[in-house]
This record gives sequence, C-alpha cells and structure tokens, in this order.
Amino acid sequence: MTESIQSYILMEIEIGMTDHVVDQLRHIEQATRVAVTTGGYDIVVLLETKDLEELYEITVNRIHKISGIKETTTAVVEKMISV
Amino acid sequence: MTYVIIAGFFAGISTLSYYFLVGSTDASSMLPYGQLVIIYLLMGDLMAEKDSPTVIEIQSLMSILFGVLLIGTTPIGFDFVALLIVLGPMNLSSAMLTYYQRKTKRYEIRPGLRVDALNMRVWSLLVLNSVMSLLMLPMMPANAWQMMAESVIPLFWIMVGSSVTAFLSIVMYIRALGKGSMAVVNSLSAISVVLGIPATLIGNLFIPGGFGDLGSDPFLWTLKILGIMLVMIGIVALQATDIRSLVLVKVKPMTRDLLPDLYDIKGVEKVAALAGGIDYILTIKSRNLAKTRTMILNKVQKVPGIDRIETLVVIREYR
Repeated sequence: MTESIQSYILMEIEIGMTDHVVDQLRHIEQATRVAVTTGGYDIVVLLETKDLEELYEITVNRIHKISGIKETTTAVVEKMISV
Repeated sequence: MTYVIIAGFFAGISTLSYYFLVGSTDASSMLPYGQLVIIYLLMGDLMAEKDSPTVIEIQSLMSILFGVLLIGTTPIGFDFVALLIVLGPMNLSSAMLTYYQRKTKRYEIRPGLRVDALNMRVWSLLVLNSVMSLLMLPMMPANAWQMMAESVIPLFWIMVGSSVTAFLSIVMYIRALGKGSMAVVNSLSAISVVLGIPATLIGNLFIPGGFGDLGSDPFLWTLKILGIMLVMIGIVALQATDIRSLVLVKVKPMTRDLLPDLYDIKGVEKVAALAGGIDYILTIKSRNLAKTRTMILNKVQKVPGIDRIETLVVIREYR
C-alpha cells in the first residue's frame, strides 16, 4: 500500500496565487499532504509515487503546469521514520 | 516484547473493570467513563515533561472530569463504587496500556525493524485474555464452571455478533485514519460518547433491561446529558488544538546519521532524510507555539552536527 518513492516539494508562490495553486495540487492523487506554511516556503507537498519515472511525470507534466508557482525545490526522501 | 506483555496485562485489568461496570451501570455511561483515560495520559505527559499545562489542557481536563462525575449520579447521590472503579483500575490501567503501546510502537527491535501494529494487537489480546481469566478465578462462585457450560450455547450468537461489530468498528476506524488526521478522527469518534444515550434507549426497546437499568427521573437525565456533553467537548477541544510545523535541517559536513537522534525527541512525528539542498525534514506537533519552542526546537538545536534549521509553521493542511 505504501508507495516506494516519497519526495517533498517546497514551493514559493506568487503573491495572491496560493489558494489557486493549493486547489490544483489537491487534484493530484499522489500528493498525500499539502501544507500551507509560514517561513521561507509557501507550500510544502509530500508526493508518494511508485518510482522515479512517475515522480518525473508528476513534476514535469502536472506540477510545472500550474500557474502561480515561482520556484520549487524537490527533495527525494532517502529514509523516513514515522510513528 | 516485554512492553507488549505489560501492555496486555494492563489491558486485562482495564477490560475486567469495564465488564464489572457494565453489569452495574447502564450502557450510556460506559462510553464517557472510558474517555477519562485522556486525563491520565495528559497528566502523565505533563509530569514527564516537567512543563506547565496550557489553559486549554486545564479546561479540557476539568471538563472531562466534571462530565464523568455528573454521569455517575444516582438518585441517592454519587455512585461511589462505580466512580472508584472508573477512576482507579479501569482508567489507570487503560492509561498504562496506551503508554506501553506507544513505547512498543517506537521501539526498534533491530535497526530498521519496528513492531507491526497487527502483531502487537494479537499478542496483547492473548495476554489480555490470560490476565483477565487469571484475575477472575478468585471471584467466580462455586458453580461457575457449570454456569459457563450451560450459557455457552445461548450466548454464542451474542458473542459472534459483538465480535463482528467490534471488528467492523476497528476496521472503519483504521480506514478513517487513512483519510484524515488522528486528531480529527479522534474528535469525531468522541461523538460516539453522545450516541450512547439513544443507543441505550433504542436497545432497551428491543431487549428490555438488556442495556442496563435507566432511571426515568428527568433531573438525573439532565445531569447525565450535561455530563456527557462536557466529556465530549473536553475531548474535542483537546484534539482540535495543535500546532504543526515542518523543520528543515541542514547539517555540518562530516556529520553521522542523525535520524534516530532526531526521531527520539518527543513531539517529532516524522523524520525524513532527504536528497537535495536540505538534509532532514522533521514534522513536529505540539499544543501551542510556545511549547513548540521549549519542548522541541530547543532540543533539536542541541543535537550535535546541526548547522542551521528553518521552521515552517503549517497554517493550513490538506490530505
């Protein structure tokens, strides 16, 4: 049930576009958590995909097509421990 | 493994007291009584951290406590025996059970191998049943074995029915956890506390007396309902207040693996080691922003090897 590649995408959003971007991101099924935060980044997304190929597809074809995103930093999770 | 056995032991005591009470009070009180364990857990956490409680914690604590006391009212005053059983063995052991379950979940048998939830449940059920049977032996009357043999057949279908309903409710709970956060699911399931009343009333229509004896004094009923509402609001308030943050950590060169050290800090829900410009992301949760700093960030900053951290406070989250 758990997909094998997880990655955090930290995004900087253009002014006023946060709600729009969040709406678009929520349509992506692999985006399991979408958080609007304070600090250096505006939106943090947790993506869970089967493999790197799927990660590529989501970032290039779905996320990079959303208007309003100024900059993204993608970090692939090497290891995760959680409760 | 020892933790599982200890957890099962306490589960046995708690379930035994539960059955004891079910026999003497009515069904609508049982659900709220069981929620008192939250107070013990909260106080345990507060004492362990040696930190002062926040206002909302004090409020919820009082709300739940008063609610439980109100529910325990009978025409002659407070039902002290029931209340003592609730305050003592039932909820104390329930709290210890949760404490040991938490410890088991976070315990690493060997690097990378943690306890599987299903495994844990099955083992603790085994211990629970053995402990309960052992504890009940001195309390059984002389003809207990005969009574048990006689009642197995007629009660069989009730046992099957209750097992199936318990199973379905656990499955639904786990599915709900998959869709929403633990806090939301636990607050919503607090509503079940209120449902105890209509369930008891309707149940008594079908099986008279099967759900316990209800007095029909409206004053007592008002007290009971107020009590249940107090308990429910206490639970919801507690579950609904929490601040989550994401902490981005960069480490100095030549630093060893910090994953286990970071995960050991209480309040850290998730730690991920990343490839990219940032080394670790922690997901942390605490009751308010002040506690985020004192309980978590101060401890994170003390871990040797950390170069800089950036804290992003989550203002809205979707799943």
